Order: sequence, then structure tokens, then C-alpha cells
Amino acid sequence: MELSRRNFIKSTLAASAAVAAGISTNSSAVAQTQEVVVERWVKGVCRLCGTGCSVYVGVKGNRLVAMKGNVESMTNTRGYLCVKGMNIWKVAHHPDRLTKPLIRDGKGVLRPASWDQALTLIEKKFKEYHKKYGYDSVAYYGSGQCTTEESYTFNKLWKGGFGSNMVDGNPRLCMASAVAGYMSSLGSDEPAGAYADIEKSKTIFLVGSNLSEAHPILFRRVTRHKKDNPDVKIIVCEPRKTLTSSVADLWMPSLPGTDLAIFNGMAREIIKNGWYDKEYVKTLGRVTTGDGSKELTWDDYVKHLEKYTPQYVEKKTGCPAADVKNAAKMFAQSDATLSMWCMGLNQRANGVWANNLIHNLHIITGNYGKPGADAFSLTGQPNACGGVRETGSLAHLLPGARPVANKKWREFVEGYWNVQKYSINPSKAINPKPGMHAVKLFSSLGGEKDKTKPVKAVIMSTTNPAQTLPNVNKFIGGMQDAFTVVIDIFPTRTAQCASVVLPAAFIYEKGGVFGCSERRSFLTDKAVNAPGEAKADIWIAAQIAKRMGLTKLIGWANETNIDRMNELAWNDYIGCTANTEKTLKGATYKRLKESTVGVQWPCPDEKNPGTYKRYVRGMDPIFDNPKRYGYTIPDDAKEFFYARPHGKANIFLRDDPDNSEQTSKAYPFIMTTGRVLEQWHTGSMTMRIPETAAAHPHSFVEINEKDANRLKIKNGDIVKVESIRGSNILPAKIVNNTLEGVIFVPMHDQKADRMVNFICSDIVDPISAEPDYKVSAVKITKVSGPKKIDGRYLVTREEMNKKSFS
Amino acid sequence: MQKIRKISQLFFLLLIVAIPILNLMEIYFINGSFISLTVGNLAISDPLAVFQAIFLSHKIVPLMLVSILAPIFIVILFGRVWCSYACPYFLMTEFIDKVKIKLKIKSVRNKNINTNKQNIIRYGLLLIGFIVISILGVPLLYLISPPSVISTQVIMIIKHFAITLEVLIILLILIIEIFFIYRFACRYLCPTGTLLSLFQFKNFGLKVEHIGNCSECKACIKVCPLMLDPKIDGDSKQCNNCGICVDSCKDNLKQKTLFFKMK
Amino acid sequence: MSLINKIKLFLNSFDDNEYYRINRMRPPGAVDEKLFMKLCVRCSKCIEICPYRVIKRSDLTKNLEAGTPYIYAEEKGCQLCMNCTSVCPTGALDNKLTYFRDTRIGVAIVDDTICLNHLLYNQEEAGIADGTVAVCNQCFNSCPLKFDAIYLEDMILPTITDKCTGCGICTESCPTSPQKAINILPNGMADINSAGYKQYLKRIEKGGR
Repeated sequence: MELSRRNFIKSTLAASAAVAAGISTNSSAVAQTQEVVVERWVKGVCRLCGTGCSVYVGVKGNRLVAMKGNVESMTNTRGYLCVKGMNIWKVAHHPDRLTKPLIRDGKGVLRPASWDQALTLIEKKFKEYHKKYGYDSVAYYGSGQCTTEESYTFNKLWKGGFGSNMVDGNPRLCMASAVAGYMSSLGSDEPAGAYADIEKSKTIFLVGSNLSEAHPILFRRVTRHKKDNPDVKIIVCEPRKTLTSSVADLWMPSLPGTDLAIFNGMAREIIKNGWYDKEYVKTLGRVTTGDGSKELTWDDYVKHLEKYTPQYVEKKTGCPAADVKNAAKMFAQSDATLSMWCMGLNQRANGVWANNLIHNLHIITGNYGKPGADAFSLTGQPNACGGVRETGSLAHLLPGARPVANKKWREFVEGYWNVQKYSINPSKAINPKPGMHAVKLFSSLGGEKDKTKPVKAVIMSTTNPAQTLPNVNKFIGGMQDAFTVVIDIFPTRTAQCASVVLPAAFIYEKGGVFGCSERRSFLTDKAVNAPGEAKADIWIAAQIAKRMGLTKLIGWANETNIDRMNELAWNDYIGCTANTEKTLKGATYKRLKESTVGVQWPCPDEKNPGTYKRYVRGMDPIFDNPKRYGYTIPDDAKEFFYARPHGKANIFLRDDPDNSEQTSKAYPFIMTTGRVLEQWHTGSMTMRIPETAAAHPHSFVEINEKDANRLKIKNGDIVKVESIRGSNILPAKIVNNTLEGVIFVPMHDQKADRMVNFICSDIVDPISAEPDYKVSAVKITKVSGPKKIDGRYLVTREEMNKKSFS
Repeated sequence: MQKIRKISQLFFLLLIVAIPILNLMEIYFINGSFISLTVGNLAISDPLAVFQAIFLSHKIVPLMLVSILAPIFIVILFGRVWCSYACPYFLMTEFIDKVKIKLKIKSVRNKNINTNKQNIIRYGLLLIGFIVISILGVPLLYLISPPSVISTQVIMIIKHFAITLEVLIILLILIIEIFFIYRFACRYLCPTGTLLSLFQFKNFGLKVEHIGNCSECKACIKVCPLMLDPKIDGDSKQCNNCGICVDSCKDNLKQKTLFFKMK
Repeated sequence: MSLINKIKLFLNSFDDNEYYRINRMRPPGAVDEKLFMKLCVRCSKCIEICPYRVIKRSDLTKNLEAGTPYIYAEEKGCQLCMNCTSVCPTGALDNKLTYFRDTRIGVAIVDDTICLNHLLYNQEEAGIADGTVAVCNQCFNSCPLKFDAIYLEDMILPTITDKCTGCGICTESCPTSPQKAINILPNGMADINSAGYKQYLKRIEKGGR
């Protein structure tokens, strides 16, 4: 009976599958989910997460019709994609696309306008504010999803043209801590290694990253490596038992916000048992504290760690003492250990310190220069590394990811940009004072009547701060009052607050360079034309430059061809950073156009294949001619952290302070936020793809079974999750795989009463100014029994005219 | 008397609309249709449904028996007041009659048929019904029980904004009623009513009684919706104690002639 | 030919291929289909109480199942709130079932010929690469009992265990189209011949009930 039943199912399925596959006998994902009538395949990179999957988009006429992976790719090996990447092209022709500039009239209604009207208004306002409130009253808020050329153009326009450092971007919300961590520990931003280390590693330490959902392609690389080499150990340290932790040899549960104690505890175990690499520490390690200026001795470090006994760690974090020991052993006693982390470490009130402590572990065990050994920070956005970190489009940076406060570098950039000649700011120089970071920027944003708010206008591209900022309630009023320009492809919460909405071109409608987590720059070709009057951001930046009288500064302002504009901007950018360790001088536009794998910096000349591993002689081209980059490297040094004086990486003495919001009697639960595989960021794109929207149409709250029983909450009940800042009404999902006392809410929902950032804590890391999304104290109350929630929620064009969120 | 009955009928009509709405508002205190209703912890079921289920499955769940106690008890005591005081279909047919009079459409009310014959047809139909469902193996008699169909369809409309094809059966019955056989469903077809009348006993419960001195105006016979002669058939299984005849009797003004009595 | 045989023949001539279908399940706690068809008195209570409106009422056109409750997993799976089991007046839905993990509506079956993860795994194993495969995991991620009812074999192949409740949420979220790669095989409805009146006819043919 059982057998026949199964056979029956099989035959029906096979029959219908054959019908479905009709067009091609090869029943692949493309055949199933996409039309396969493709005229040409255009090279590009996936628009979504920071993995940087290389793809081909299928074009028919002026329409995108399919997507497939690039089988030669170095990021998504063999061209594997994830389900949302496979479908992302579908949003390009979505009926909700913005195709005309919109200007909000006196009644608060967004009316269609011409580009000239919109740009004239922007020009008028910017000039007025520059005059009335100074150059710092107009800000740019960019995104790790703009192309490198666009970010660079806006950055140059503001810092060079306006003499204002009021440039920040959403990478501030996602990896500012990693930047500060790399800078303080190793001296230069971005990882030393690459994804290729995954296949060479012997132990993989995943912390603060739900790799399986946030970076499914990398997760597959990890699991495949594990399957092929069963002796590879995977350690996962995170509060939820996710798919990621289920494949681990060791899952170290830790309460959100406490894992610093675990890292210190592991370091203590490593040193106590003599598993550390004495030679490495001696030649390449430097014990220090605070800002890193004062050198301490190894004994100070050992003494500092004494407090972190496994018992202390267990008490503080909930991670069993034995696990700390085990993890330390696995970490230290492998030939090559690769740590990977993501927002779980970065979006924290002590994110930079957490990053430092990971680097500590790697320094004391000598896990940097070897193949398969690295401390690797994953990014969440496709061009956060390339477009924002490397071009320095953050308030405190200049191109090359060097601080504006660095006089020597500032003067070089001033010279390169010819700021003296072209700037409209009377000071004729780049402002040496860093601008405002994201949270500060938006808390300083307000209308003209509000005297306490110094920032009066902001232009926001490809990002959605009205949904993504922590404690977002605090910032919405300011965004509505100020003169806000939003560049986006879809109606968003931010567009709902905007004074002017400019329709943008989708990545495959403009092309440009994206730089992924592993320092790899990859060029996307323009595949189709943008719909209606939608324009590329770089064109918009150029128009603003022209109208502000900066045509000469932005050399490509008069170009009309987007491709040509991109090329000129790229050439300008690689010229600027040619003599830094982030050099892409060899990655000419022509080379990028031809390349199907992209180029990893440092790449000083066209013959250089790109760098797989930094800081190692023979692999890193900086070693060939250190003088060119302003470094001195001893001739006998095999491995050298050249960006630091003496080439030694910092071993920081960091404690485990409780900077995050603490639970109390009234707010007894810790809420942590995160992603799900099928959705991305605020869902403005992925919620518009039927396939992915069906899998995760709305947010929910994951509650541990024991907590739920105590609160008498049943599966599906509608509960109110409330912090002192705001509340959400969410359906409960009872699970037995989170820690007790911890709840989890995904972050993608656009519905006002399910936007988790109304709840999130707006404490920021004191060093990197990155908000602490991962730890908020909340309480849960049951609202009602199960209720039907009507699928996905999308902000519509009509809703953009309403002041309140619904 | 008739006013109370009308109010009661309207109340039940409102109830079948209100229950799904209350359920939508997540008030689950009261739930169900006229096939089965739950009020708080009390379950009330249509005996027809339960008997079918038991008959077909040979399986008795205690809840089933408990739930039919109340309806049967009411029938034994007060007769088939369910039909006259609650059934939305009875209300509907009464309304149709009124409209017919207003529009001056000829009534299809023929000469009285012998009550016994009526009963034989009813029970015959019920028996056939049970035979059919025993062949089918599925409790489908609800299909020809108008109140069940109406109440379940109301749920469908309110909950899913849709109706299912059972509505066609009601329409068919209505057509027969309007154009061919007077009160076809109530008098012959409705299996719910027929089954309930099995629990009406001749010498027990509330019955219409008649004492001498009748002026033979036959008003009561004319108004009886089930075409009975109240004087004779007061204790008949066909009578549903609607009391229209009692209210219509002019002799009652002078002297107690036609009235209800608890036997 | 006797009358009963005539009736049998007439009823058997109905096209009842629709009768048994994957991804169409009874509400949680439903007893074996044969019994269910006898016990369900079509009172619509479960339909009415379902807060997600996933329980639909079967139409008269389909079969003798007229008026019975169904869940269509492709539209929306059962969310396992367990409201419906307690209201059933005849025990067609098991009144005692209140814990969602005990539910056995059916069992999910992965179709390895179209499941994206299977296709990816096949390419990996065979060493081919054509860029048309994708990592999906949607069934796993959406499962209310993940790790228990479904796990990923070799960290990629979705595999169903006997703890599967058959709620159909995975089917609902499966991205393949038009045929879903994960389907619910409803419990108690063993195959086309064993449900409803046909089974009944068979048994009376064999002599007696």
C-alpha cells in the first residue's frame, strides 16, 4: 500500500513536471521559474547581498527575461545562485517602478514633474541652505547598493565640491564596526584573505552570522567543504540554533550582546594550554590597550585574561564552560582557522571591540598569512566594500578608506581633485573635521523652523532609512520636515517622507562596478534601458554638480552616455587610490569589461592578476614596491602588517562591557533582529517577487517554547512586542531553537505595525557609531488568538502621499 | 403570541449572520451553524446530523449524544418549536406567502390532504433518504434540509465571500414551493423536521387543544401553514406549534376554544 | 439487473478522478478518510472558526464530499493553531488533538526531479555547471517544526522525517512553478479507490459491512 501510494505521487509529479518543463528537456531552475527565450546574456553581478555572485542576465528586446549564474565565477563557484538572486531580475519590470520625478506640493501630495523642475528645485534649495546655514546643512546619505562610480561621484561632489563631510551611507548601519576593527587591529580596512580560504580552511569559526540565510551561497561553499572533508571543524557562536548552527560540530549558544566574554575566554584557554603561536606573536603581535598608542607586555595581556575563566564565561553568556574550552582547542589546534562574522558582531554597542577580540584570537594563533586562515568580515550589501569603504563615502573617510583627519592624505586628495581651484566653498579645501554619522545625521535633520537641527536637506540614494534606522520613530519627523530628496526605484517608507522623489535606474539598466566582501571588483554591463524617465544616479549627481557650478570638478558631468560617465568616474577613482594599498590601478575599465571574474585589489598594474591574500610576501604586490605606497617593509619579512607602524598587528586588551540595553523586570526579553533567506533588507525588491514573497510574506516573532508556555502564547497567536521606544504587533512562531529569554524578529516587513525598527535600540557603538540592532530589551504580551495576516505589505504610490505610516 | 414568534425567528436569523462575524472578530464563545452549534461549553446538534453519523459510522462519540439531548428534550416538551420559532426557512416561506398575497399571485394551496398521508409521505421520504445515504455511505441529508444549507451558506458568504452549489437545491425547493406544492419542504421534504417529529408524542408535551363551542368558521384551517385542521390534528406529529391557528380563532375572544395545553 | 446494482453503476460512472489529490488535505485531527466521510456532517464549524481562512468548503460539483472541509496547501497551508479540532461535533476531527506537534494531516514529499536544492546537488555531484541552479531552502525555512520534521541531508537536500505534520506551509512557500517541488500527501486518503462511497461499494460487494 505504502509503495503504491508513493508510486502514484511520483507518476503524477513526473507527468506534470514534464509538461512544465515543456520548453526544454533539461528540467533546471531556469526552465521552471523563468522564460528561457533569451536573445543575449549580459554579464553582471547579483544586486542583492554582499557575496557578490557573478551572473548573466538574459535579455530579450529591451526586457530582462532570465538570470543564470556565471560558471567561471570565483565568488559563487560553478555559478550557483540563491533563490532570491535567481529571481531578482523580475523586479525590473514591476508595475510599481517609479518612472517620473515627483515633487511634493503644499498639500503633501507627490505630483509628477519634469527632471528640469525637480533638479531646479534641488538646486534652489541647496544653494539657499548653503548660504543660510552653511555647507554642512546639506547632506548626502548613500548606500552600499550604489555603484562605486556613483558613490565616488557624490563623495567627490560633497567633500571636494562643497567642502563638506556630510556624507554618510547605510554601510554605517552594517559594517562600520568591521571597518574600525580592521583599521585598529591591522591598520588597513577589509579582509586579508578571500572566499577561496573557505576551501582551504581546517576550522571555520562562524560568529554573529546566520550564514545559511544571509549568505546562502557561501554557506553552501562551507557545507560542501565540510562534506568533502569531514575532519573540518565548524564552530558556530550565536544565540539562535539556526540551520547554520545545525551543521556545526560545536554550537556555542550565547545571549545576545555577551560574546566578548567568550572570545576573551577562548584566548585565555589558548594561552593557558600553550596552544598559541609564540613566534608569530613575537614578530607580528603588539599588546596594547585603549586607542592603541601605548604598548604593553604579553604578561599584561595574560593578566588581563585571567578574569575570563570558563565558569565566568558560562555565567555571563550562557555558553557551557566545556564548549569554551573545546572551541579554543578547535580554533587554536588547526592548521588554518577561518573566522567569518557579519552583523551579529558589527551591529552592536561594542561592535568594534568584538571585532578586535576576533583579531586577537587570530594574532595569537597566527591565523593570517596561511591559506585558509583569515579573519573575514562578511558584508550585507553588494557594494558596501567597493563603493563605500574603498571610495571613503563615509563621514570620516576619504577615498582609499583613509580618515579625513589624516592631513597628508587629505592634502593629496585635495591636490588630486584640484579642490583649491574648483570648490565652491570659500575655504577651498576638504574639511578636516569628520561629518556626522548616520544616526547623528538623522537626529540633526529637521525643517527650517527647527533651530536645534543644523541639517536642513539630505539627498538619499538607494536606501530606506525611514525603515532601517534604529528607533526610527525618532527620525521620521525630521525627514518629513527637512528638504529630503530620495532616489529609488520603488515607493518606500523613505520616499513617503520625501520632498522630491527621483526615479532611479536599476543596476542592469545602468551598469557599474560592485566590490564584494572579498575585495573583488566586478563590472556589470548595461543590459537594457531604464523605463520611463528613470535615470542612473551618476547622471543625477552630474546634473546636481552642473547646477551647483562644479562641472569642472566632476569631469564627466557633461557626458550623456552612462557607460562613458561610469568609465570616466572609475578612471578618476582608480587614479586617486593608485598609490594606496587599495590600488585598483590595474583594473582598468577595459579589463573589467572583459573579465568574467573581476579583480581583487591590490592590483597595481594591468599585468597583476589581483591579490588573493594580503600582508604576505609573494602574494601581496605591495611587498614588491612598498615605497610607492609609502610603506617600509623589511626585506626579510615574510608576513607584515604594513599599514601599521612596525608591521605589527594590535592585540587589544578589551573587556566585555555591558553597553547594550539591559533587560529589566518590565522588559524581560532580549530581542534580536535578523534576516531570512528569501527576503532582503526592507523588502522593497524581494517582496515584489511572488516566489520569495510567498515564502516570507510578513514578519513574525520567534519565541522559545518554554517562554511561550509561561506566557500562555500559542503558535500563531498575535502578540505585542514592546520596548520603551515602540511596539510591533506580530504573529508568534513557537520554536525550540532559540535560547530562553531571547526572541527574534526578522527585519523585512514594511507594514507600520510590523516594522521592527520601531522597537530597536538606538544605542550606537562609541567608536564606529554603528547602531545596536541586535540587542533590545522588550516585553511580550498576547493581543489575540491567531488571525489571518494578509500576505505581504508594500508601500504603494498612493501611500507615498500620506503622512502617517500604515 | 405571533409577535414573540416573529421576534424569535428574526433573532435566529440574526444569529446565523452574527456567529461567523463574531468568529471573525475572534470571539469564539459561540460557534457553528444550525447543524451544530456550540455556546460556551454547551454543544447543540441537529439530531438528523448526529443520527446520520452514528448510522453510517457505527461510532458513538459521547459529545454527539450530549449535544442532541437539548433539542430532543425541547421537542418532547414543546413540540417542534424549532420549526416555527427558529427555522430561517420557515420565516422565508412565510415572507414569500405575504409577498404573494401583496402581488396577488394565486396561492398553490390546494385542498387539505389527510394528515396521515402527509406523515406517510414525510416518513417515506426520510426512509428513502436514509437508504440513499446508506448506499452512498455519506451523511448527505443536510442537502435537503433548508435551514442547514442556509446557515452553512451564510458562513461561507461571510467567511470566504463565496457560496457553494448547495444553494441551487434551496432555489429548486423554493421554485417547487412557489409554483407547485404549498410548503413543500416543511410538509414533506425537510428531514430535520421529520426526524424531530419522531420525538413528538401523542399524549405528552405542548399541544393545541380544542373544546366544544366552535363556530365552524374554519379560519384556523385556512391559516395553518402546514394545511392541518387544528381541531383534529392538534396532537399530530405534523403540527409545529406555531400557534397561528390559536391566534386566528375568533371564538377565543368569547370563550377558550382553541388553545395550547401542556399534556 | 437489480436496482441496487443499477444505482451502483450509475454512481460509479461519475468522473471522480478529482477525488483524491495531493496538496488537498483535511483539517488537522481528521480521522481516516473512510470514516471521515461518514462522520462529517458538514456543519462548517471548523471552516467558521479557522482564523486564517485556510479551511475551505468543498463544492457540490466535485463529488459526494460536498460541504466537507478542505485545506489547499498550494494556496495556504494549515497554520497549526489547533482551533478547529475541538469544535467538531461528531469527532470527524479528533477532539482530543490540541498539541500542534501531534498533528498528522499528511506527509510532505520532496520531488527530487524539480527541487532546486536537489538539482544543485546533482550538478555538484556530477561536476557539471550551467549556472541554472539555485540554493533554495524555502521549505526548510518556512517549516514550523524545522529540524524536527524536516532537515537538510548533506546540509542541502530537504528530507522529511516522521514528525512532519503535513501542514503544507512548505508547499505554500515552494518557489517552483507550476508544479511544486514539495507536496503534501494527505493522510487517510490512501488512494483514489479507498475513499468515500467507492470504498463503501467495494465492501458491500465483498459481502456485508
